[in-house]
Amino acid sequence: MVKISRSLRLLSLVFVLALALGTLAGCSGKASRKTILVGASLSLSGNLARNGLDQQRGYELWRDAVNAAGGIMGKQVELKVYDDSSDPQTAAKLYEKLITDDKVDLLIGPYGSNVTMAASTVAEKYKMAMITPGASSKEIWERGYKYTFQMLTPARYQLHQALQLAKDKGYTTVAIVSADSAFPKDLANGAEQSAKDLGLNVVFKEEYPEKATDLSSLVMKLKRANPDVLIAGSYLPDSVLLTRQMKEAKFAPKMIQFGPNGPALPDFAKSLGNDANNLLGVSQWEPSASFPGSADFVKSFTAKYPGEMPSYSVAGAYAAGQLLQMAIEKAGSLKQDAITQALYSMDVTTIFGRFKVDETGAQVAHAAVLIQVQNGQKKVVYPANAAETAPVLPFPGWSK
Amino acid sequence: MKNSKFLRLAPWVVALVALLVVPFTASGYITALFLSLLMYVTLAYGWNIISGYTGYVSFGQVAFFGVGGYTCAILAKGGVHWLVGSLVGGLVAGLLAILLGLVMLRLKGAYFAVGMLGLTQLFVALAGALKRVTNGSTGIFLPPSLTLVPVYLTMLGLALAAIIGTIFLHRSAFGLRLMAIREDEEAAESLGIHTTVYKIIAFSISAVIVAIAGGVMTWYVSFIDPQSAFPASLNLTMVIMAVFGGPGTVWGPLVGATSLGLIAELLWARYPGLYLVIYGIILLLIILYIPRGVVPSLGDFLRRRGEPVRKRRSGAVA
Repeated sequence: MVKISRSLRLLSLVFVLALALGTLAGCSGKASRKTILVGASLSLSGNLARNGLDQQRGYELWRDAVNAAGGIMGKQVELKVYDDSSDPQTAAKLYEKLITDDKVDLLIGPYGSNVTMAASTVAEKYKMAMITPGASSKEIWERGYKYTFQMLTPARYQLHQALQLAKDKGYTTVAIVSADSAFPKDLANGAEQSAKDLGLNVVFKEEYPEKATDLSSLVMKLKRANPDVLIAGSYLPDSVLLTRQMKEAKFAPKMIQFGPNGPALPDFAKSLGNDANNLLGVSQWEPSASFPGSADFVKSFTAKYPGEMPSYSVAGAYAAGQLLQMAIEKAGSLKQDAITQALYSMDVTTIFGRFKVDETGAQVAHAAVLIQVQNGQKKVVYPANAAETAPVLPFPGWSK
Repeated sequence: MKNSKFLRLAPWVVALVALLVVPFTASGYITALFLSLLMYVTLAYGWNIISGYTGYVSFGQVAFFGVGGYTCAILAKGGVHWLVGSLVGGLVAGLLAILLGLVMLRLKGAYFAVGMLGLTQLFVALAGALKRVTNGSTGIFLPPSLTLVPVYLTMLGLALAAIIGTIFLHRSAFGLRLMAIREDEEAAESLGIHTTVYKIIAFSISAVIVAIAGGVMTWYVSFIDPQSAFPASLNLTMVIMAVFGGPGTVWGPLVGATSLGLIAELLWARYPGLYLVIYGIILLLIILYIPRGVVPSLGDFLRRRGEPVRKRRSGAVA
């Protein structure tokens, strides 16, 4: 018995050591490459897989486009993508691998705020720039990091365009309502700040419970306040509820504006039918938005994936590649410090819209576009340089 | 005699020194990889105590991983050192396991396994609902740890403690009583073993080990939310690793966790689209051909070649 357990122990030890040494031997020195290696880990499985797969499509389309056009500084681009299965800890390990094992030249970001949180720490440690098309939590940019760059419009800026549009139309009074959880509150507080900055008058502001099943008393208060513009920071169920109860109460301000979880989602118009018409929403990006190059991008996407339209995740990932390329060409080198400098100083427009960050790397210029449901169809209506058609304003009233 | 003891220990000393120098000499990736392997080893040993030795197969030890993680995150947010936070997390989980054990360990076999799985789901929901404590689904953000070394060394210490603890457990009267419960709980009871007490102690020790690992990993990732605190995949991974190596054995979890951990790593580095499929096939083959795990099967093989057959001290989980 003793003899056996000893030989077993020795065996398992040898086994473990052999595996460990095998792994150690597997990592080699930096090879001189003729290509530019760009690395990312993405949520290709797990709960965020839908958006992660879209992001991969975006990165691949960008790589193909760049290489077809002669590469970056004459070098072809190669992609290295791993699956972090939507797990922050795995993502951190994979970014360590990309940097120290695969020795990638450039990084691009993963999908999801929690995964980005972990991955950005690794990028920071190795002082490598990371553009993140899939993260919006403001906490990521509140840690004093220098190498993480945001592309999405933060919640607090998402409704700025809407108030700009209201001002363009000459409306003066604004009512703001929102659910009482973090993201809607950010939306509402941002809208209030924008209204003040633009000289509009906020006549009413109130929160309601996120899981509310009856908003009729809130609607009554709104009716009494009689604003020109209603801004609603909401999720999908309360967006639908609010719309129904506004119709019942015949409350029809001149402009009805929701955040990203309302008319911008296909399910909104599906559950409301005609009542969704002429309501406004916010979207990070729409396939119909007319930014430079976006029509070609949509064309190349539909050629590769017939019968589908690109989501904002595909477009964001493609644009992350564009930004990386612009930064390298501006910096004139692949040195991380130079690329980082360039990203801080850039104010450019990609197929995804404008990109400009503040000193923390947080996005300040990307304008989520405004969409409006017109005859059951979602249309981009603002800003003018991205609009498909003019907004129907003032609100013509509820359908019969 | 002294000489032979030295010879026996020598390879272990070499291995330990090798593991100690990894974070100072190897690349960040290798260190991160070893950190995750050490975590798997720790979790597999934690699971092995309640499920391998005592026979109560749990598909929900991740519940304690999350409890440890949240305790560490909440304390660290309040300025407590993360190492202290992780140890307190272990304590909290250990006490919680005693309370939960009073209820859960009345269940047997598949009911216990499924019950623990349900408990994990309950914890996920609670972590989302107790917004004041856990910050709900937004999660808790911690200051980032830019060096891996302290985290790595802590996890190494924890894994070693789990292994050494198991060596002693395997030889102790306490360990024998756990195995008696596994083989036949009623018979054990009739022999005068207070089975409830022993089961709860085993459950609690298991929870402490898993929870400390949870705390350390949370500090490493510097972020926790309900999804990452109770990763469903980890629930399964620790079971598979221990079962692959040989549940209820001293070396099974070590062999299972390191080999499957490395296989998974090599596969997903090379075949990101296919690794889950390949991994699944490997697991199926293992379960079909060596259902008792690598270590007992290897033991049998050596025994057949060497000595006459003896009664096994360690067996498979029912």
